[in-house]
Amino acid sequence: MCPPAIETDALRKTYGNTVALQSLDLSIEAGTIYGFLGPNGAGKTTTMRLLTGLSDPTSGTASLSGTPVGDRRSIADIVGYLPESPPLYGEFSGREQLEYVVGLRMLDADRTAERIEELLAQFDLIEDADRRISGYSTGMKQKVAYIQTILHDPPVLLLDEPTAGLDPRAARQLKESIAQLSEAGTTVFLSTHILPVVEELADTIGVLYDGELVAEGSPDAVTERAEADGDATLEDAFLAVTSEPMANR
Amino acid sequence: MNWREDLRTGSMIANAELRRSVRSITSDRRRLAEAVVIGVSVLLPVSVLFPVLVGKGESVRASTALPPVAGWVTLVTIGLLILSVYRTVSAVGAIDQDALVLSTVHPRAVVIGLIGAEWVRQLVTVGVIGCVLFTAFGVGAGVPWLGLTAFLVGTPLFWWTIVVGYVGGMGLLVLDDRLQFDRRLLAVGGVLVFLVVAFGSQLYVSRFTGAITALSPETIAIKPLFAYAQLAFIATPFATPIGSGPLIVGLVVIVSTPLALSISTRLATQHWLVDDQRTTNRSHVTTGGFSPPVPFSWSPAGFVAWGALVRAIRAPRNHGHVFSAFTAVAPFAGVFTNAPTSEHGLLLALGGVILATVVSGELFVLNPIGELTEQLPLVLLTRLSPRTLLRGRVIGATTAGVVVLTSVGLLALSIGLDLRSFVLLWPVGSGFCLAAALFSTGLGAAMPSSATTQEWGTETVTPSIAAQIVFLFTVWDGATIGVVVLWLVLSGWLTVTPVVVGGLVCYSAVVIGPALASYRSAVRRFESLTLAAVIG
Ligand SMILES: Nc1ncnc2c1ncn2[C@@H]1O[C@H](COP(=O)(O)OP(=O)(O)OP(=O)(O)O)[C@@H](O)[C@H]1O
Ligand SMILES: [Mg+2]
Repeated sequence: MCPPAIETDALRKTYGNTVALQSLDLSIEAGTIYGFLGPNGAGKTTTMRLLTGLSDPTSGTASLSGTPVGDRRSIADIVGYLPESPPLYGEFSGREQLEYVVGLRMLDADRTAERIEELLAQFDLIEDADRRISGYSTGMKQKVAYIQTILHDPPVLLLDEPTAGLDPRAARQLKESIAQLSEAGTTVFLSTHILPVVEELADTIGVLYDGELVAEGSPDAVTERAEADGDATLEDAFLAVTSEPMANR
Repeated sequence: MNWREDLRTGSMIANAELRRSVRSITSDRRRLAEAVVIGVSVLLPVSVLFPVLVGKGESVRASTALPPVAGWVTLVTIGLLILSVYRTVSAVGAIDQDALVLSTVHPRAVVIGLIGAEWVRQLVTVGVIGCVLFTAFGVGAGVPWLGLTAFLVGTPLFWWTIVVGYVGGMGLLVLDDRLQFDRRLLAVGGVLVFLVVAFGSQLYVSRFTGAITALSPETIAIKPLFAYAQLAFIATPFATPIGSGPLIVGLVVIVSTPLALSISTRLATQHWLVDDQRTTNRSHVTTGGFSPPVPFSWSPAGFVAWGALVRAIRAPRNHGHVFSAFTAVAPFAGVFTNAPTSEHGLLLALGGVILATVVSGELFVLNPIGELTEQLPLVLLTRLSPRTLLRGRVIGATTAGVVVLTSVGLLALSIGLDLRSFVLLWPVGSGFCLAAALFSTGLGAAMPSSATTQEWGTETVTPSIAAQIVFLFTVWDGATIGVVVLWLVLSGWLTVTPVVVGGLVCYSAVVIGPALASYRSAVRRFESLTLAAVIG
């Protein structure tokens, strides 16, 4: 059997006296869309940074598709990471930025050229592709950053609030793109505060509260378990598991 | 094994970094103007040096031997090394968009890219200036192509100093990460070390003048390095037989490059992937609300001033440009140590006046609009009027200056300043501070800069260089003139005659008029401010 796409073992991160992540055990199968929920400051971004190896854990281990995240050279090909604020160079045009990333990843330029055009078209960016990114709107930046994250077809995608700042049409395009990738076998680990996005996309959700995973399962299961009451929504469930610490197990 | 891959991606990163450097200047008219101002201020000394060097060249044309310059080659190399360490610590030791770059390529490729870009940057700035100077010498000596050969010979040397300097700079950055220095202690310590070095070296020079000749650069000449540098003189009358020097230098460069790159990569990985603990370790907890003490609590402007002061004390790094005031300490140390002891108190107090004036003119007010860019949507939508905001900044700046003035004044009292001079200097110095703050407000508002730069590992908004240069030529110079006059009056050289009084009135008018006008222009500019005007 192939190893889980994302696996962590007692992953822990502290900043001085602040415990950002207590002890996280995750095992996510390949091809899953995992919705990672939690209130502000719960530790979602921290987890993502640990999963990319961009931040060292205080203790515990993490691996993607069986590769330890400390192995930078191999991890770079496995993971696509979209951070909270889009990592773009304002001095470049959108197209230049994407071509730059293609070069950095040493992808075949001719083959990806077509892909870039396709994606630019898919996200309504063709007209602005040659303008400097410094003049882009928030949503345009977010879309370019998403495209650059998926260009190398990474088996594991880590998306930190990917729909932030997107208009409804763009959000739809993004969700469709994520669903497509998932069908093709990509594992998507996504954090968001927009619960409908998770309800629509996620196979599994995990709720982080104060650095601890307080609920995990399919959206329906989580909803049911949190509230005996029949017509509870995911929102109700979220509020329930993240309000009282004893909700945890 | 992956060297080829890293070299390829590294050169791509270098290329992109350079393109970004160029664009960030050319796409912004303000930055472009700044570049021109800097260019001109470099060109001036170069054009002064040019004929001097042509003359030097002519003077050696008759003989076939070079003047003794072996030591200078060593000194220049050391200078370039120091420059590289400084550049690494302050700028090229950091990467933009680390989340993207580090999750995409190996850190070694990034190191290669940053070093490569820096190499080109130094070649087209320092290298080209050196080339021009050598050309001047060559023109005089009858070998006009000397600049070119010197450039070619210097190119690998530049590479070496940058690669090795990068290790040094990264080492310092990692050390800083490890030891978790308190930045404020570090800054205070740095200033103290600087003061000790400045005064100590001057004392040393004045006490042991004899020893200085023994310290001539020739004593530190590194033979192979000089032999290598002489390659530039090949096919000229000054050519010397080529020994093994170039070979040794070549070998050192070739062997140390991969070694230094490996060490840099290790250090860089540690530095880039470290989480900044400093923000969390010392508990940054402030209990209680924001309540300025009397007199700041009396007016909304005082409220603003207190806020600015509190923030400056908590994050002094955001005001790093103020430290440029300390460049004046070195010449001051010279004057101070050479003066008779009886004058020390007065000299120190006068130096304090200049320092206080510069602090008042640079803190908070040299970029009053640019520094606010991020908070502007908030600030413009409060009920505080622009006038209040600016007045608050001026009050804050003047307060800081007066604190400096008072502390240096008390120090001067303790080493012999007479009370009469202190009592006279204090109000005059405070006036200087206020005038400088008022003047700078207008200057900074006219040339705002909202671009953030990575300096010393923090993103800060610094005043535009153009504003800083104008400041240098107006406030620095004006304060210096004023202080010299004060000195003449206080030491009794200048007796108070109607002519002197007239001169003082004129001086005051020249100071006060522009200061007020400048401040009022800032208020007007701020009142008509919209978001687009700043960000665009
Ligand atoms: N560099 C840092 N230094 C100190 N504390 C940090 C650092 N980064 C994160 N933290 C702390 O770790 C905890 C988790 O932060 P994290 O950014 O992972 O939250 P998050 O779940 O992504 O929140 P949000 O939904 O607001 O993005 C918070 O308490 C935060 O204060
Ligand atoms: Mg977050």
